[in-house]
Amino acid sequence: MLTPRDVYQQTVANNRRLLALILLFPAALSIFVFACLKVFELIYNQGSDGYTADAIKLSDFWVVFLPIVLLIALLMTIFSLAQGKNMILSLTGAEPCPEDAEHSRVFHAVENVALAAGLPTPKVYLMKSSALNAFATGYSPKDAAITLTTGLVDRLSPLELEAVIAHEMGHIMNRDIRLNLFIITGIGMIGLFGELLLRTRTRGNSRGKGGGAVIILLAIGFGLYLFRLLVAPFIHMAISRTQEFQADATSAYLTRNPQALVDALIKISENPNVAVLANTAAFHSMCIFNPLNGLSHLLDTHPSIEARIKRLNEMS
Amino acid sequence: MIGIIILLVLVGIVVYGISLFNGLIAARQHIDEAWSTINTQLKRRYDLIPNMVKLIQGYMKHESDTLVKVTEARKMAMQAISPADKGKAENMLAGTLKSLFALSESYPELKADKSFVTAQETLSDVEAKIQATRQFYNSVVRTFNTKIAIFPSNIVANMLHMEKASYFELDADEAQKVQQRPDIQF
Repeated sequence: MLTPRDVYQQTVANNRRLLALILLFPAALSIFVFACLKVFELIYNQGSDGYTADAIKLSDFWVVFLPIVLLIALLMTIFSLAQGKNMILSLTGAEPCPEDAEHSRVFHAVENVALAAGLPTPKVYLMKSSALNAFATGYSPKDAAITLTTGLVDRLSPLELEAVIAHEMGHIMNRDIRLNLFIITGIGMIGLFGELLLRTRTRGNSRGKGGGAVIILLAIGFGLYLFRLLVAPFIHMAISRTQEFQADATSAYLTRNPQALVDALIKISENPNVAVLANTAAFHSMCIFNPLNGLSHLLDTHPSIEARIKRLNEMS
Repeated sequence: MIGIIILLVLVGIVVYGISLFNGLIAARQHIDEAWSTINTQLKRRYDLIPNMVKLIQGYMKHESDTLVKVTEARKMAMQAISPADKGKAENMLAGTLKSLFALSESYPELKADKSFVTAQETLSDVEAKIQATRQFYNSVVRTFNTKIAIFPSNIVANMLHMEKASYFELDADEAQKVQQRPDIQF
């Protein structure tokens, strides 16, 4: 069901969600890594004949792991803030939409959607591509921008275009870009630390004196690496898909016309592949449609078009 | 010990009450803000109409009746203050504008006039924007009205004698027309 929230309630809800994520992400990570550590300990002790390392205590684990988690969280915040500031728009080769008569309908649509959402009018960028796609950038609604491909502008009807813009406005209103930057940089950091710690093995002396500490580091590295490989993508996928459904719902709420978005999605699904966007993970979740459609389906950032249309039809 | 617990609970209740109070005040503030954005758009329309009327007058020798009605409806809409009155007056104005455009259909020269075409386009853009701002206004009114109706914020709202805010209604028929925007040719 569509629960109408105005922008103020949405802001409160999203700030809460971000806070929960910031707290829960390290907690989930800690539990996972500790479990890995225990498994590691078990295997190590079995393998070593006659020699058993001291059982790894929870307190020892925290002494080593807490600084690592805090460092990850800190770097995650710094990096996502820095990225948000000059959000890699230039990478895509998008240019500000010219304010001429030809594009007045684009501006009208963006202005109207922004007024209906009660948000400042975002900047509008155009990307030269015959493919149909759109994405939102910007850390907060104040410095938000919506980028549309020229193919999208050419091929969608005014109402369909408005529905797509309203979907992007939904991402802006829900602060999805901020949340995504946190998650993506977080996953990157965890992977980086995992790799770094795994490499300490080659330098450290794994047996004998100081072996215990190295093993802990090694096990933590292994845990982080495993988390990044197996758990993090699923968390990201789950959050991203929820965001897509939410943005679709916001679009329906703003335009009062879910059918227009359905029509637009069908048109877009025929040709959403934008090569430039496919290389930049940070953009995927913000696009109206997965820009590398047809690759992996299990970990798609977007729900299937059938599921999206089904939910939109329930709204109309 | 029991004294401290009672004190903490009391402090908690007071803090919670204050946050409810602030929430209500903020929600009412949001209504005022949204209302002023509607008025900005409505004023744009009021400003457009005199020029429009003057332009049409040049082409029409008779039937100035419709023009007079538009001017009067504009005056009435400008004088209306409360959202409910404003809604009614704006509906009237939109109705007269519609008949004005229907009339202009029979004047090919007028329809060919470039400044008339631009004026018409601007007017339909303004109408779409009125519709958009109205939607936002109504959404914050809904939030506020829910807040003063549900527990526990209704207690604070009663203490402050807060009353339900009224929605800004436009005719469903009119809303439909604005949404379809038939006047804009892309």
